[in-house]
Amino acid sequence: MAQERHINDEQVDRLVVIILASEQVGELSNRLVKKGYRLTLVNTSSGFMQAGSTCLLVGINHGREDDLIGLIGSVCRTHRQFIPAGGTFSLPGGLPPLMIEAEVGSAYVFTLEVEQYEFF
Amino acid sequence: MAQKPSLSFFWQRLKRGAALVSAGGSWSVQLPGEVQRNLRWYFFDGVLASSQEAINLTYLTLFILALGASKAQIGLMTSLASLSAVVLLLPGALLAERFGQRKWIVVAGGGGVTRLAILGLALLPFFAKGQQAVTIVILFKVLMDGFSNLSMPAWTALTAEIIPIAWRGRYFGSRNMVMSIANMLVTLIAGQVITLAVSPITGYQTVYALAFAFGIGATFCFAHLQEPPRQPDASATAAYTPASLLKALRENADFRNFCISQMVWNFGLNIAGPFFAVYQVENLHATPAEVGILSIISSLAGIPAVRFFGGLNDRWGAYKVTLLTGLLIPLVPVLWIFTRVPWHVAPINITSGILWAGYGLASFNFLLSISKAETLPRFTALFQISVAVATAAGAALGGIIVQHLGFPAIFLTSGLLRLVGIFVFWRMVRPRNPVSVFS
Repeated sequence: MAQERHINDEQVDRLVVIILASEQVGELSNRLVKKGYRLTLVNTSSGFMQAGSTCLLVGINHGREDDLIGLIGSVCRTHRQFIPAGGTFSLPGGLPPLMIEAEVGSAYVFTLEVEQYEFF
Repeated sequence: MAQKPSLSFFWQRLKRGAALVSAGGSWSVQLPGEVQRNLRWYFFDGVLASSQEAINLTYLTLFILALGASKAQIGLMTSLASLSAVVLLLPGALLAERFGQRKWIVVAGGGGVTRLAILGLALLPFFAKGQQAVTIVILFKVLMDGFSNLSMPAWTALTAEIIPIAWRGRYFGSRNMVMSIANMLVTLIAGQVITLAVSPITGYQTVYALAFAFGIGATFCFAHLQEPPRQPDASATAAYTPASLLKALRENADFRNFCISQMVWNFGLNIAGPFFAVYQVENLHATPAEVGILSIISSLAGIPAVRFFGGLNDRWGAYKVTLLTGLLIPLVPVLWIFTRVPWHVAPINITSGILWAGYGLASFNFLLSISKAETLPRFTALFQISVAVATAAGAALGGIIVQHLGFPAIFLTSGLLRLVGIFVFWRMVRPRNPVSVFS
């Protein structure tokens, strides 16, 4: 309760816009909420029917900017993994599916100045 | 007064939407025009190839059966096709590295010979009958699988070159989804065509002609890819030399044991694998359309299951998911013994589709977890060889067993051997932490 009041009283002067893969939203938003950040989640669509991306809006005081960026970086590291490539040919049964290396897990972060912030 | 949008406006919007979807999504607009063009040709290649394979994979066994093949011959066909894949693995890798233009290896091999063989299948009943036709179908199947495998290293390398690594996840997400939809639709339509045709053989000829049209369309699209210039590199094939492969086996006990377990598993799997469709037609009296629908049910069940097991894989690790799904899969062939009518297969195929989605994902991830980046090409090659050899042996033995002892015998043997395979995995292979080798 005390923490919530502290957040509400905080002078918000930065708006951080985070665009990330939908698969990572759960983990990042849980960790943000645990550390007392307030956030708004906006679903966006990208790709065709499958690879969704999500936009998170986080209002903060500039003093917490480094902490927030660090937290995003720790959850949304770019890393490589193998994904199904859906080949052009079929191979004899039992052979492993065709996989190809892809970069996943990145996030785009934009920080904007906030002219005015009110909480009702 | 607001003017109504014209037909040309809708047409332009449709064209724009199709251009974006075929390049993977709206994100692709930020890529250079040449890359976008390649993504589009590659997308259409995949969709058309998937439509061709929907026919070829689902109905080839039924086609050869309609031509008069025995069950032993069906086993032999799968067995020889797997062996051809093993034999052509090294030449394929050599070609991909030593030949400057990878695109033309694919167009000539998997896109050329394979698709001419499909045309051959469509025309075959005009020229050959009985055992002669059966022998030719087996030969065509060996050619198709052999040349597909020969082209595979070139295809994989070219794919990696033309699709930027940062966008592959999204691009393949879109492409795979459309490929799956095309695959299911074509399976459904082809099954109806065969069932409603004046004679079964005419039906198979019609759908194989259609498969050839899809295939040649795919080759046309693939031939339009702009391949980036590159210098042939002979050194990269060192990973595939017999000495290098044997060294990899000697040095990594976990990998060796994993290969042994997968050999037993795939040996058991293929004792029954090639005969499920035959059983549905001969014993359950299913029509080709019903066989197609039951195959679609399995694919559909696998789509959400991949996401579920992907999450489970992250939490539990590949070892535990392989073990869990591997312990349940042996029950699947045993359940087939109790089927009496085609619809009995539906719940089995739903279960099978879910479990196989988990097993395929987890076992591949486990292979990655016991590999290092520098050993991965060797490990993958060895894994493919061991699986293909086991597949060949299993299918050949399955053909003999089913011919003499009937379907229950292969279902039971297959289930027991799968259980032995997973037992070997459990006792001989050590669990690993869920890490990506390239992280």
